Amino acid sequence: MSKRNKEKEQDTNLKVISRIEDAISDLKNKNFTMFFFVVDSKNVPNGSMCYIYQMAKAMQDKGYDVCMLYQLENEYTQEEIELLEKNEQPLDDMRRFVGVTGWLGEEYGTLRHMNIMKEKWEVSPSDFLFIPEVFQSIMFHTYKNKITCKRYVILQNYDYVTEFIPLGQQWANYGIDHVIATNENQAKLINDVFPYTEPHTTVINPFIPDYFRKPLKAKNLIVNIIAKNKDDVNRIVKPFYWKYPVYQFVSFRDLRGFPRKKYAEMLKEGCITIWVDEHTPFGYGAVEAMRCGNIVIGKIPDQIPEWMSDYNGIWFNDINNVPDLVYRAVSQMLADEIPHILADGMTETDKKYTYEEYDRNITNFLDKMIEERIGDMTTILDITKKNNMKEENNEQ
Amino acid sequence: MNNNDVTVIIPMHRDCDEAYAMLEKAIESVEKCREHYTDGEIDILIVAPFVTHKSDILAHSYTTWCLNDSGNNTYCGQVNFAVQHIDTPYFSILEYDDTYKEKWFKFFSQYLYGNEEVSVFVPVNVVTDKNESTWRYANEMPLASYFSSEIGFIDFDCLQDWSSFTLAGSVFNTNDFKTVGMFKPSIKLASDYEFLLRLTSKKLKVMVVPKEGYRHVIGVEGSLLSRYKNISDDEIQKWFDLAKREYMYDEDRKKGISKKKESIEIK
Repeated sequence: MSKRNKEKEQDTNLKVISRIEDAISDLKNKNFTMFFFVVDSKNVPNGSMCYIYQMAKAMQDKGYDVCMLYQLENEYTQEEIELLEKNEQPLDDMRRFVGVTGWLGEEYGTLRHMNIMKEKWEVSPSDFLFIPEVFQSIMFHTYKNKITCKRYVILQNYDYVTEFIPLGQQWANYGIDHVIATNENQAKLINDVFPYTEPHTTVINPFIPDYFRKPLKAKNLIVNIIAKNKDDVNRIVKPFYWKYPVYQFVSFRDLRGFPRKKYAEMLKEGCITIWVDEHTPFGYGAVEAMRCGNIVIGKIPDQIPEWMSDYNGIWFNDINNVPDLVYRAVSQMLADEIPHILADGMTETDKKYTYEEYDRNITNFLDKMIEERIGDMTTILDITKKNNMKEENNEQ
Repeated sequence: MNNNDVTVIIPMHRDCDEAYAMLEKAIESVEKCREHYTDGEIDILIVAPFVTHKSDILAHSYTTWCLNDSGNNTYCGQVNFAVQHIDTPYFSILEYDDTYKEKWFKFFSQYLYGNEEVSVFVPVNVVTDKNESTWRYANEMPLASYFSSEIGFIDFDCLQDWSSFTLAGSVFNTNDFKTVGMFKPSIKLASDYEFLLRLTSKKLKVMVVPKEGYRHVIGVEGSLLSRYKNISDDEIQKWFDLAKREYMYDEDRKKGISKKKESIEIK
């Protein structure tokens, strides 16, 4: 190798060493960014986005820099928005990032956001990138472009992994082996098919915010319905009134689409919640309803949530049975004859998924994540230094 | 006296064994309620235009017999008389041939919290026949979200379209009851309705507690309503129309109805 090339190589090695040392220093000083890829929920409440934003906010509250990344082509500039508003013209929602302020609250909506289609996204080796399992394309492109930061997949729904990943591909092809799973079920599912993720999988259960709690005032006889499909609502409410006209005074309330805090207030006001969400991997709606003191009449999802038992709710498979179940629950509410075993089961579930437990888990995870990353970088640094010294010795 | 002590007023108008047998069951239902009510005491005041010699009735604890010597022996007259002789912040009316559900006062206490401004707490009544072969609810309609401006409350507007309420079993704020003028004994059949119109027109609140609290048996011979079993629908309607005209007055103007169109004064 010519002298010039050797000098060039040593120069590169020194730069690499310097860069790694800087990255290690940044990690030790909390001088790095946690990036989270998100989709625009367009103000529609979404359990998956809620989990990601809550995690980002929790990390920011601990003093870390956080940035939410999204992709939006042809996004309005601020000037364009102001001009349209001045001329009282409608905004095209497909050209703007609406975000989560409307349903999750300003404290989440005002986290730093960046459109990577519009702004230059700079990443350093000390940064971390959290990718929802559905973003297979992001996994691929960040791998292809040799992005230097550490990548984690946030796994909330295993079904999305099988749905979006092309046949013949797996996470190892994208250099991904670190996972945060929302529960043990999800962790087990992914570890079974991608065994290399098992040593690097952390389960961080979500938390249910404090504003989901039993009310101080006694409840009204309202039956809340949480169902994605309007047809399901009709299949419950209409037959109930046909079969039990003596209960025509029972009010049903569809809770779709409300901002989180308003939704919590409405849950608190009611006494029974009918929950239909077959594809949920966690079952937020049911747990939130229990927290608010509602008896839950719920459809057993495809993936049975880990908290679900025979004693903390009334579970069904066939939606046509729901009117009879509601009749029984309403009769018991009116007579104050709710079975103790059900009340006790709900109380036990209520104790789970607290913010305190979540905070502990996040703290432990962050400590471990940073320590591991420092360890990896130190190893690379040592190897690079050794290689550099070897070359210097050879030259001499 | 606690803030939430209650007097149960039982108007009696029959002095016979059959009536006393029913009264005994009514009192027992109050005693069961006491086991669940931890927010105060529940006393019983039986009011009648005669004195009883039934020692077993008088032997019940916290039970007093009150002789109504006012000359007004109507149901409303008896209740008004009894209310003048109690000192508890709340009272409830129990017809001698009915019973409470044992947790009714516990429910009242639960719903009182955060609703201390409410003047009347009305139970969902379970109305059955003597054989308990059929049943229906009474007072339940305000629990429907579309019924009134606030779910669970009876307001003046909803009373324009719906008059089928019964206040037996309800828990009244004693002071509010007296302030609005108490019941009007001259208004037959529709006295509960007239009272509700009067109360709600003054923006006082009436809440229907979404719990079964009271059991009413229909078709009992000698009951207060049995006096009206031969009354015509037209006459019933006239009493309710009278209620709609008289609610504006706090005092009982002793107006009656006639089969002719104009109203006449009863002296």
